[in-house]
Amino acid sequence: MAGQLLFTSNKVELKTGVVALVGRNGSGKSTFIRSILGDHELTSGEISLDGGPIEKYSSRDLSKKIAVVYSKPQLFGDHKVQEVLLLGRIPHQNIWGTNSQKDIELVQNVAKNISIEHLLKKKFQSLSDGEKQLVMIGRAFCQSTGIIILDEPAAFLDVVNRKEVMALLKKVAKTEKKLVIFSTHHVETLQDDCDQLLLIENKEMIFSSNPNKFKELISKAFKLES
Amino acid sequence: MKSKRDIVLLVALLITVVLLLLLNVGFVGADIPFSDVLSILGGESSVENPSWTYIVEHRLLRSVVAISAGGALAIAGLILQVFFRNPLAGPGVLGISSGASLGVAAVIMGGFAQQGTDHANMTVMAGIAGACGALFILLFISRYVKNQLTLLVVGLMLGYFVSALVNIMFLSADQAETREYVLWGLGSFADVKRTEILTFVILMCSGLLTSMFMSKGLNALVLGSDYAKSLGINTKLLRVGIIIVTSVLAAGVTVYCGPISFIGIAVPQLIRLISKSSNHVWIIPLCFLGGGFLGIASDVIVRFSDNSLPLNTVTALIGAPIIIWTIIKMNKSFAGI
Repeated sequence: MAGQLLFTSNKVELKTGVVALVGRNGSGKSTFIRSILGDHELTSGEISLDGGPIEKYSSRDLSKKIAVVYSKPQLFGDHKVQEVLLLGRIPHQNIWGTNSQKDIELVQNVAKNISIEHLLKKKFQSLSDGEKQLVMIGRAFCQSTGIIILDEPAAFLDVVNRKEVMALLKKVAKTEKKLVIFSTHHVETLQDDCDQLLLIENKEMIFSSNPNKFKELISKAFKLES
Repeated sequence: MKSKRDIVLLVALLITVVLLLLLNVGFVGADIPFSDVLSILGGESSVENPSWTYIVEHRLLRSVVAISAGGALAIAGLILQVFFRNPLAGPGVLGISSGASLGVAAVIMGGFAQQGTDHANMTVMAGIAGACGALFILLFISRYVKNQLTLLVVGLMLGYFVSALVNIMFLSADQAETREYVLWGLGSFADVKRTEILTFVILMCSGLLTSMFMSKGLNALVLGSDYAKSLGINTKLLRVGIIIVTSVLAAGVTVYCGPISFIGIAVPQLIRLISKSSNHVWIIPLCFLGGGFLGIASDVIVRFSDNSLPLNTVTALIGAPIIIWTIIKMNKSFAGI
């Protein structure tokens, strides 16, 4: 609803690392994500990126700073995995969208880093759901942005695949000094999955960077333990 | 990625189209020696020469129309397929051609045009307006209907609705008007007059050019609108561009040549199966040439039959099997949508 206050928050500054965004259905996670992506106008408050308010960025400039992964991979066409990864290079390409040798090398490097090299020549539509989501995350890496936002990236994945995705995000955030923000409902393993937590509870956003406290905060918020 | 295969395909299509053009201009129909044809086209003969009129008006112009109309329909189909994320989309199925038909019918039979006056411009405008209208209705409905198949059914229903309206117009139309509309409905590349051809070709070529400039946006759009936006594509502008380009292309062809079916769906499907590239900078010209090929090939067949076969019969005979074949082949690769 327009103008409805979803939650209040103190000033939170995120630099690098893996941040989990947790909250009940309807608490405003998706709206928050859309606001970061510039898809949703804030009625009050401010989100700034590198010192400037996020609304001031054109979608083209934003695409060089933030990459995004949605929960359900969708692709129209019978692209090979390598072509899907190359779509991540679009913000850096000329108007004709031609792939330079550099683009191809970068894509192959990313594929190597996240161990999907063997999939490069396969058709995207022939992959399993887990593999598809790995490719979509790889595509976001190929965008070469400092920030990656994932909207419930593991919602449709089994336990093993989810673990793999989370480990991957952690590794990339650490080695490439990226900021990774992901929303999730899987709170049981949070202390292993991330190092910072944004918890939306009772129309308030709480920030914590102490993984040992995550469990307590979440139990309190979701009233799991009395 | 550009590959050698796409360059070969592009060149092969270009050569075939040129050969068919030569065949259509030089040999089919009245028996005129090819050397005479060459000298006429070389400008060595005057306009008064009856052969000149025949060659230029009945052979060259309609060949040019056939190529650009076929190409235009193929591009419109390609863009609509990506936009609606549906391999079976096309100007015909989605009711866009029907919208254009309604515009044409209104001008021909609705008494908007005075008898005997040249109502070409008016038909063009009415056709584009009708096509745009149909697209807007589709866009509106597609907000509520997420299922791909349902949208196609909506497009078909639009088509039926329009033909019902046209039938109502028949009641008040006189015989000449009815005849004009029915003949137009059979489709033909021969009805574009010499004075109109420049407008027609410019319309089609500007559609081709504009869609080339939308390539990058279309590349991103295969991931869906949200992803395209996150890749820095101005999705609002792209949407407007897509609506205008596809309406102008589909309506332009429909108004001048009749509601030509099948080329718009069949060609993009075929090209995507054959081509190695996923970059629309390659796919768009390939589709244009592929559509041009199917257009002029159909016209050659029409003319070999002494113009007794209607164009739409020929395109259906060629196009329908291609579509069925590609559906079978594609079933697997498009399973994800």
